[in-house]
Amino acid sequence: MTPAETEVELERLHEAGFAWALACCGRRREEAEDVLQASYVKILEGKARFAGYSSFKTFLFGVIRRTASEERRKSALRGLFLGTWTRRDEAPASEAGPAERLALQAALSRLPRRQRQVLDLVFSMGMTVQEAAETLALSVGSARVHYDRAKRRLAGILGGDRA
Amino acid sequence: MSGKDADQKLARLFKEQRRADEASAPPFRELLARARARSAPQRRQIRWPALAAAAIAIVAAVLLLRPPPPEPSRAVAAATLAAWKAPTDVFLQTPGVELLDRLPVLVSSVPQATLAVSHR
Repeated sequence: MTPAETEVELERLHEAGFAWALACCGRRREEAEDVLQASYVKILEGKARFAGYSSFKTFLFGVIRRTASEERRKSALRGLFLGTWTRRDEAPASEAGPAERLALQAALSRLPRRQRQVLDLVFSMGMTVQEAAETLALSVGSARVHYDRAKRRLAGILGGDRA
Repeated sequence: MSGKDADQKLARLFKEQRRADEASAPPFRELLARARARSAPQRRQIRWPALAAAAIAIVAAVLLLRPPPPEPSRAVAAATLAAWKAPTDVFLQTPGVELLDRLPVLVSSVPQATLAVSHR
């Protein structure tokens, strides 16, 4: 894939990529922009290469997920050195929007990260469980387990039950 | 609510969320320009640590791969070993030690003539 073709693909998937970066960064907007930017740098400089084994979307989302993990680790290390480390939970659902969407965000914030990511990829990005597994570097079996558990738990939280 | 209904509700909520997220995405060109601007100085910064690491690696390789100092030849080593005397040898020199260096001369107790007669 030539650099020009890569750029066209990145532009095509830019908005979806940003939505995924937000999901990977606990809905912290500034962090999501930084992660997306760093992911573009990696791809354009050839540090992350698209080998064509999967779709470009799966590849891009994988790079975004890895970059978000790296940023999280770096930030945790910095925090440890400076003695300011605290666990970073989801950003509070302060965006304006319908109550249902805010309830969804609040419910998602109660799920483990992996489960949240699988649900995001399947329901929000329209991926199959297999594509979600490739993006998250998981086996299809464990992605399916995460998916089932997350769905049951989310339905429980949204339905007012204890999951 | 059946499983299918729950799935449909989740799908609808996620889609709404995604639409809202996508609508708030920063412009692609702007982000790309920032990414390019960020990557250029990084390349220059990376050069110094890389050079320092390479220099350290070269020095370490030279120190590790340097041939060991030549060993003395076997003949020289043998001569040195033979000439060596223990500093405590002096304690082994006791009075009368010279008696142990020669054989004692024993005097015959029976005269030779007597022996010759008895044989006959």
